[in-house]
Amino acid sequence: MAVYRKRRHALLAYLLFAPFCVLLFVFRLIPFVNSIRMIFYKWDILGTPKYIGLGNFTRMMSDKVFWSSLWHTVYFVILTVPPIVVLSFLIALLINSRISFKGFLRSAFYLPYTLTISVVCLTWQMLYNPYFGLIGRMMKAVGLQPINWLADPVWAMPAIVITTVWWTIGFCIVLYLAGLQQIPASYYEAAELDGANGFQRMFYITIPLLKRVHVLVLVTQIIASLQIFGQVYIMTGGGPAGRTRTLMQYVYEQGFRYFRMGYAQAMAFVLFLVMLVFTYLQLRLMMTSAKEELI
Amino acid sequence: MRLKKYLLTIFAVALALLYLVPLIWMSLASFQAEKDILAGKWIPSQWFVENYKIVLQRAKMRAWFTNSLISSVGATVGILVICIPAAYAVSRMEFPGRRILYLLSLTGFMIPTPAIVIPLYLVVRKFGLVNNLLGIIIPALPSSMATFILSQFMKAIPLDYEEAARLDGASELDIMLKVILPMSLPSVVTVAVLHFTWIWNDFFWPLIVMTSDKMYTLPVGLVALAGSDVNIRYGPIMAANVIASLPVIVVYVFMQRYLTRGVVLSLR
Repeated sequence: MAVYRKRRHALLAYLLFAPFCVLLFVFRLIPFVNSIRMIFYKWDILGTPKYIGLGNFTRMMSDKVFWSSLWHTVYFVILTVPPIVVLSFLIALLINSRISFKGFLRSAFYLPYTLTISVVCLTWQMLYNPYFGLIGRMMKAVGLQPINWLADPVWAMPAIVITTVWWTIGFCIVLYLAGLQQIPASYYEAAELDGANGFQRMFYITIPLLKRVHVLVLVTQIIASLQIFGQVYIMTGGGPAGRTRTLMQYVYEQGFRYFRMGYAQAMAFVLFLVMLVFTYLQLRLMMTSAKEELI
Repeated sequence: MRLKKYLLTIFAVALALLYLVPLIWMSLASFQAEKDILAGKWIPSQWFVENYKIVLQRAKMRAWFTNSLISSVGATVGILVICIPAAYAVSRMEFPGRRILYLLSLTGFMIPTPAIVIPLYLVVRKFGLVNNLLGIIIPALPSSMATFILSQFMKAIPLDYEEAARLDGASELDIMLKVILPMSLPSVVTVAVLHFTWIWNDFFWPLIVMTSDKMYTLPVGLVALAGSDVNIRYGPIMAANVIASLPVIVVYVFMQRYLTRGVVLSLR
């Protein structure tokens, strides 16, 4: 009887999990396996795929645009991640300090993150407009020569970076605020009694105790930034002169404009490998908090 | 001490307002005629509601709004229907292979959409779901994030409730739907709000799966509108931006508490 009930219990569990499992296989795991198969083929989506071994990779090696796209992706990560980590930490400290209007402040900094990338990019495109854009006007007001941000080979990427930092920082502020609230007030009180000044409290209590949050923000932002596509697609289309073309933009162009499916997937696979290191770290971070309860 | 608090508050509020300048500007520009925008005005010389009329009169804009709404609501409901039972099974039931299924449910985290975009597109195309809202909805359903958040929350509910219900003769499904699910409501709301906003705001996947402009979602449509139509310039585009942002902002304002909690919960 007990065995029978146990079996029925297990069967029900499998049934409850089955729909999720089937969809996971069809829309994640099978495409993933196919993505690895595809990188060895040349295929224009219409004809039959042709096996070319490592052909896509040798082609990649000699493709200057691939290398510049890879570099632009890394460059974007280097430019966005440090300001996001530092600024979100500082703003979270400010909101967490003894001030009024905390609710308003948190919402204000979070609000841009709730907007779709198209709204963000179209608005900033206008702010960057050299003729009537707000930023150009402000530069003129202080006696500077306005920059044609998005059309300038040097400034186009920093312009995309500024927009991205503005758009995404709210999410990291929320993470930092949660971390800050978990530090027991008694730590600070004890430190104060021992005569520690604000500087010491910051460097011996706040920063070390937030180590997990620092790593989490760093890792999630690196993952997000490596996949950068929308901002480039909308604001510059990869230009001027390909100077903002990132890896995903190039994958999109090769795959969905020129239908070089194998080649595009091979490049997406390179990105996947780079991201794997960081997604693994992220998963481990999430699991360590879940571990004691779950497994 | 008092003075320091006032000064810090003033500084923080000023910083927040400065931070919101792009959004304030966007909202004001949506009420400006073309010449006001080109002149770099802040306050419109006359409040120009035409922008909204121009945008709303476009049949396509209405179609895009509807597409966004159907795909976001449809996918959110679908995710809950698919992921709640899955999360319940791995977090509250005992059976052989539970650990493996739990780890399997998290594999989605390791496979980001951009890494498999081409084979995923081919699967969706094979099912005939290109230019179909189901092409957005169905691939979104097996969400590792949703299953993770829900199972985390369900796991924390004490066993006593379940045992009491079982003594009263409740079946496993009764326990799932009438005991655990109501108690997990905060995580359900979190999952719903997070996924609704993600799908409403997504640009990459709808851009790939929708090739006919009737089937665009709002984010893709907005970009197409701004890029292609010379009759629709700055004011109307900003009006369209406001229209596209309102639903998510409304959801955010009402669900803020949960959303913040959900973000924290999922990544703590």
